[in-house]
Amino acid sequence: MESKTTFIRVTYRIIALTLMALTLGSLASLAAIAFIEVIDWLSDLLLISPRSRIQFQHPALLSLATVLVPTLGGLITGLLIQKFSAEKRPLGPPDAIRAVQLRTPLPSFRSGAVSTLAAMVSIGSGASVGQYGPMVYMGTIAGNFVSKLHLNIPNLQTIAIACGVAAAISTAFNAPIAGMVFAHEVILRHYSLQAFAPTTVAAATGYVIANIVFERPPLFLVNFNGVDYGYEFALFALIGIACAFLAVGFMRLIAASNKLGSRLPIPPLFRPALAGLIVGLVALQLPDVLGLGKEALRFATIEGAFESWELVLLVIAKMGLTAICIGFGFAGGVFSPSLLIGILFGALSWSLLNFIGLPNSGVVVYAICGMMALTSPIIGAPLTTILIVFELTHNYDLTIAAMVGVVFANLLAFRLYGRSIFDVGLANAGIDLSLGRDRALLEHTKVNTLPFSDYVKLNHKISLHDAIALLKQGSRSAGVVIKSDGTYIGVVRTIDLINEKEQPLEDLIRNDMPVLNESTTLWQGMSQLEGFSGEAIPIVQSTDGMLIGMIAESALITAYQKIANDNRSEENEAI
Amino acid sequence: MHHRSYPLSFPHRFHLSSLFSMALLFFLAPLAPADQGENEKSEPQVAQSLTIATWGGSYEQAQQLALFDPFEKKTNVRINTQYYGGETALLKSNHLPDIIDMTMDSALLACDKKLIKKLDIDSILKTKNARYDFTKGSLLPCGIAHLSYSTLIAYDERSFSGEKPQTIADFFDIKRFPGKRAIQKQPTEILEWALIAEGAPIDQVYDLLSTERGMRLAFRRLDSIKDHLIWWSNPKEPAALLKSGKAVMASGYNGRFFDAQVQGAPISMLWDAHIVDWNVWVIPQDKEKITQSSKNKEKLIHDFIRFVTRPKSMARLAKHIPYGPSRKSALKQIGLHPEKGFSMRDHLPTAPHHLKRALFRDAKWYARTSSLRKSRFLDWINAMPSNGLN
Repeated sequence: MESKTTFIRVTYRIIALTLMALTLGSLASLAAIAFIEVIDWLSDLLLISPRSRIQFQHPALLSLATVLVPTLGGLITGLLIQKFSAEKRPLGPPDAIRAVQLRTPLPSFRSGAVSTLAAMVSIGSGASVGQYGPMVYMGTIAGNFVSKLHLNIPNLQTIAIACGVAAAISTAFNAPIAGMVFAHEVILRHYSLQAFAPTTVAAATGYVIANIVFERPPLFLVNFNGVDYGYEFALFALIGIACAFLAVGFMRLIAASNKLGSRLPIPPLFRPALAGLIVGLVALQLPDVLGLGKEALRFATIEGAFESWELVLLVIAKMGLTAICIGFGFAGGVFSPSLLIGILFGALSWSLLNFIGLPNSGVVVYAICGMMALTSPIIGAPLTTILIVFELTHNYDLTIAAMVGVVFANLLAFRLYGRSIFDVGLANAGIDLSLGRDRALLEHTKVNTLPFSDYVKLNHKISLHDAIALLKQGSRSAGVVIKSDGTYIGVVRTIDLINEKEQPLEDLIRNDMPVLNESTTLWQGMSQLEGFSGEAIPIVQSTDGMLIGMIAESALITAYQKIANDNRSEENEAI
Repeated sequence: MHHRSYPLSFPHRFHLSSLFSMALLFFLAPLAPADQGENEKSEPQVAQSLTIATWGGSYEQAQQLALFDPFEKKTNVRINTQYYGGETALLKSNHLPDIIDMTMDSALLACDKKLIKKLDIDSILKTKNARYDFTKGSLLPCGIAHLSYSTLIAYDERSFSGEKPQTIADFFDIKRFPGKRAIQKQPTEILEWALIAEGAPIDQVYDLLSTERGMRLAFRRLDSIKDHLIWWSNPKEPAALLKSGKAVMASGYNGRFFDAQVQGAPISMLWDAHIVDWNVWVIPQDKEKITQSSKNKEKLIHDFIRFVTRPKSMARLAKHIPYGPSRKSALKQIGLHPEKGFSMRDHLPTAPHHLKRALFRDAKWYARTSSLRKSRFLDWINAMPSNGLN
């Protein structure tokens, strides 16, 4: 009988998860395609794309548009984010990571929609921000939406978000394997079969829609005939190491710009406009910095398209402007700017080799190696970036070369800065995933959200005799001593009162009693339990010393166990 | 200059000037009777003629066989032709043809400048829903795109008996494939090809060529072969230059090269990065007052366009010269080459095995960058040490 119900349950879950993956894959993929189309359309309309700029025949108006469009785009972005989003900041992959890792609800749909719209405006009007972060978040919204259905499947939100994200990346890069791996590497961070299977289906669906239904052109096409000299692999590793420093510098720059932005005497609503103005002014001299820079990305793999000094200038300009745009509140990601900065840096490294006169296999492999070595530590996804190269270029040699660079970049940047810009951002917001998900969950749960236990209140003025009577009445082994206004004084054990001569209660309180407060996390609470024996621990308001309540030791342990169990079952669930 | 045969009643070849005077006569002749308000049937039949400006050579011959002769036979309207090589000057001349067979970018530009007439497509086609038979983008405000052709590189097989050129980069490789290259003295396909030879992917050519960097790269590549260039201006020249051995490679139209091949010339076409474009029927804007006779003429012009854009006519043309019809139903009707008997569909620019490395010309981009490209090209020519190359 039981095996029969298990069979029905498993069959139901397989069917439901597959259908969900197909739906989500299609939804996220269509959303991603629409997103790209809108951005392309906007950047043509607003004279951001070179193709539209060259066809526009009034030079003065073009210069005016170059400055005004990003500025106004910034103004609209600021307006959208500050007036219509509850979070008052653009949403992105960190929000998806937070929701999945901590099993918390996502920001509202409205905030997500506003953030997506703002990203379209930002990128379409030429801000130096990327498109993949917002696309990942759209996948997240789709996943979150589907997870609200009452499908009666454990860990549904987690799986659904992973599906949406996988499909978005799969569509964006025409790279289903990379999409699937990205969802695991960045969002899920475990490989349970229950999540793996639907995520893979969603990624494949996204690929089919992008590639076969809509015949989207691939992001990248390069010709590469193989690495000619063995020593070049050492060079790729060196590029990886250099990229680690560059990536860390870039992430620190973004953080610094964020701080600078918040210190500016300008309301947040107008900050993106200021960033836009700066972008526009720079673009007058250096039009390559406008928007996503697809053309510059392409030129970087063509020998001699850039002079070395141009590459240096562009790397610096793109890093600075991206930091300003993101720090000052434009909506968009760091993924595409990183790709561009990385590929330009790779090309620069190659031109250095050429200058020295070292024989090499040409600019392509160095450019691609730089591109991925810079990007992977920033998004914290070494496997994904390696696979993107493989799926985009279908070139094995290129993939191996990029892999060498990526590994060294990741190793070093992890030590110097952290797992990714997302994780460091989350850590700064109090969610540190670097020591494991269980630690983050324990840190995320506040002890005052757990159920309190009953306790005996003892006014500090009452006699010993009365106190013992009250404790006996409540059949407690300990009671809390408080002042008349409710201020916490301490805890007395019943056995410490019995047979004592009459004296103030204060003199008999335990001095080894741990005290928690309203902001104590479960992690901190658990560590305070060490060496403590007793029934319950007081939680005291840190500001005025008022007693909030007592929490039983068993409640802390139960909460701890639940988190461990949930994690274990999610990460090992088969179906 | 161009070979064409006229119906039996006109045994002599006309000179252009006589064509114009004839055309002028036809304008004037019906004036008197038309003023009486008579219907068109009473007009003298001899007055019925149309002048078509088209491209000469084997293309025009094919048009003559497939389109003009059948139209003459059916309507008794005589078709005169006039050579047109893509010059915009024709539209500003005093002797306008009735209809021009233009490339799409020229048609877009001429339409913007109001040099050709806006068309009411449905009233010209008359058949209901005919517009849905046309491939996307072939019905323009001022014209009807009727066929696709490719501009590509062909080479003289005798010059490369060993290794043969295979990619567009080989066109720019003087070391491996030495010899003169013949191209049109225009900032057209050569810029795209130069950039593709630099490594630009076909999908992104126009995006990249829109940047200063892209232009610079293209001209840099052109620089590398500048001493090996000769120019052609009439589309029938490339095949002749290859045949005579004056050039080892030449740009040109796939139909012309095909015709030369059929006639036994040792020429091979390089379908790598061939540039597909459309030819468009357009009507030049005349400044004549609207009279009964001009109305009749307009009706005749519309009749002609309707006739030549029928699927049957399109398919018939593609049988003679491998240019692809713009109507889906016509594509299915294309038969075998009348002399050689092979399937003409395999030789079209849009044949599946040609599509993989095809670049579809962005006619809008072409129209809007025309003056920029021209000035850049002239600068480049003038900077050449021996600019009087040819």
